[in-house]
Amino acid sequence: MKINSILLLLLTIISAIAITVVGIVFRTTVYTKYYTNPYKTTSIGAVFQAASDNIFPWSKIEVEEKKTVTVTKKTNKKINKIKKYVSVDNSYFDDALFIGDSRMVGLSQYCQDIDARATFYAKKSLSIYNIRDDKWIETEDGEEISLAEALETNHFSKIYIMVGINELGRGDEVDFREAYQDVINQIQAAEPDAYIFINSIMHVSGEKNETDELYNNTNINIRNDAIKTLEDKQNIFYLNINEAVDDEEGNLDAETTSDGVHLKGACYEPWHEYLLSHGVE
Amino acid sequence: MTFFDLIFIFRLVPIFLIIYYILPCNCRAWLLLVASIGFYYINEPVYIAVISAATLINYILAKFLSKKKSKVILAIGVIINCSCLCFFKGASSFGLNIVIPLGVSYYIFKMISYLADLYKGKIQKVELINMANYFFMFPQIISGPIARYDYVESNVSWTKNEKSKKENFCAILLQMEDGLKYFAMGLFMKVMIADHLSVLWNDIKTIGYESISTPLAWLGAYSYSFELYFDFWGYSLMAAGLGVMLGFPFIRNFDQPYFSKSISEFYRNWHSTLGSWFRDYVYFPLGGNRKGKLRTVFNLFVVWTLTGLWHGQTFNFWIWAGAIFLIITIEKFILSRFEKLFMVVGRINVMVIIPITWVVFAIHSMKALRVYMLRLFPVIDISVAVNKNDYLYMLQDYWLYLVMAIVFTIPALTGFYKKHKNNVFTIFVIFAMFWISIFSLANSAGNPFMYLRF
Repeated sequence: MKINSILLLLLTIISAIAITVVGIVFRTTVYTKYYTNPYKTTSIGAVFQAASDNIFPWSKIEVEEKKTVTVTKKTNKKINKIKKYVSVDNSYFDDALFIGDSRMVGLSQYCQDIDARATFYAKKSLSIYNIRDDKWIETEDGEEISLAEALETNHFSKIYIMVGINELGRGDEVDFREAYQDVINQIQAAEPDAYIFINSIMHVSGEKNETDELYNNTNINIRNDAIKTLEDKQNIFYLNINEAVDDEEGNLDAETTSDGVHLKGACYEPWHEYLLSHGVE
Repeated sequence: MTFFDLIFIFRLVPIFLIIYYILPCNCRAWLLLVASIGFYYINEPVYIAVISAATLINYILAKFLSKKKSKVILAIGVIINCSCLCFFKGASSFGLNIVIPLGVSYYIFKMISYLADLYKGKIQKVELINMANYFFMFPQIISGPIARYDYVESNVSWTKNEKSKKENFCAILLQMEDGLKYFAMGLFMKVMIADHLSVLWNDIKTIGYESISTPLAWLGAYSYSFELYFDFWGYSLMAAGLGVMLGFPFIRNFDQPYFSKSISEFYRNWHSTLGSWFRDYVYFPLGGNRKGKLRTVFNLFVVWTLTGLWHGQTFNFWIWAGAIFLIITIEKFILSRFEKLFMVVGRINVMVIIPITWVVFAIHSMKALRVYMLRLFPVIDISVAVNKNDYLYMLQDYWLYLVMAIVFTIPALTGFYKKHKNNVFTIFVIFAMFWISIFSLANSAGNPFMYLRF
């Protein structure tokens, strides 16, 4: 019998054993958090899940250090002047930047009035942690740069953000708020005069809300309450866009969504209208 | 638990195979039965009673049939089996909240096939262990393929032979190698192609059919066709591979259907174990094509009505089955008279009409189906807020999976595999495919929609 005739079997057995051994050896160090259930988690599963998070046996376990961002605070800011919302027209978005996840991607693709005027840094599966830590904005040259780098060359007067649904499985609302604060600090360091509009995390539909243990409106509301406290009504504004897209029971209107999470292409107008009625001069 | 569970792949299967081959030949069938019952119990702790009762009833009927080839007993068997299938499949249509038992269609089809083959004299002896394995065997219990009874009898590892221990050991290793190749390729097709393309189809649903451009509607039709193909072909290959590892022959369920010359041929090459089941146990007993044209049309009508009903009770399945019946009838009685025209039209039917029929198959709501059809053929403009570049966005995200789907659809690749399956390069490619699939599986927990980050 030639070795070639059983090569796949040999390679598979050897590699499976090797990966299993690696998983077991580093089980109490780098892979601890990936063994969620000692009976149901295979070592191979744990090693591969970790690898997708860029964690390997040689990775150092770091105690998460809070990144400190130097903020250039404006000294001439009038502290107590609360700004009120006014109605604006689409030209308001000429110098606006929209940052967000797939829901923001949807806005860019199905709201021509905004897309034709504004800049979008939006990406499917984007989280506040990506915005803060990663180089995730693709330039025209195909290079990936961070938000801070992008804001060095491009300037905006209004910055709209909507993220939060992807983060529901990670950390808690305190952690989420801190990351949000860091992102706002980064933006303000680059664009001290820009208005930042935090868009509330959009609700999910009633059906999704009742059937999904993670992606439900209770969890979304907890996070929304946390980021709402970032609002100062002078430069940072919290826009509760759920007012525009919810049904009477406080869920995303089922008529406007197919999957319970995203708006259908034809249903972005209420969000657009809400933004038009919530401008700040 | 399915084939896509890492515990199944890395714990249960290896442990089972080691014990299976340590045991003497005459014990292996019993071990397979115990393991299959265990596998079914893990998935369906309650409904194991249904399959067990059905096995017992069929065993009693088979015993009677083996003594006397009675049409009445065969008819009783067919009626009992069909009633069981109709009850579970149709319960929801009558407002009953009953879950369909896992694999009920597949084991009922096998039960009917068993009794019919026994009646025809194709099965000589009723043996409980072989019969129970035929119904229960874990590689086929969830979604087929629908093997025939001789598949079980062909197992090469259940009977003693004259070969030395070393020769037998080598033969087992070769079986395992062969089976693993099929399993790995099937896993890749399912996990890396079908599951990712299912996200594209889901994205289209998310946008809403009224807001998709016509190019995206066509892209959706083709990507759903690929998704269905690789989902089922991949699964069938995995099941066949597991069977080969256990000493059974390879069972083919798909044979390059998209390169068929007509829709009739397409359905001989697509899920062929189901097609041949309907041919042998419905079409032929009705007279096939031997009783005149009108009767042939009627027989085809019966086959496709039953096929449609089997797939689902919503109206879209009637349309789907009706459309295929109509095209096959036209191909058989009109187009086949014009050889050259048939050569062209037949292929166009496969390449264009089949994807459209899959859209009908996929969308259960008539209202939504109408909208999708009007986006495919925009004779009436019902579009709302269409982004004309939407298909480009999709291609940007899914081009790799679409390219893989096209490459794996080309028959030359299968030819290449058959010719070079022991080549080191081929083996390394399959090895990479296996681990890439496992990596993806580990990060999606077996649920394709886990890829759906928002």
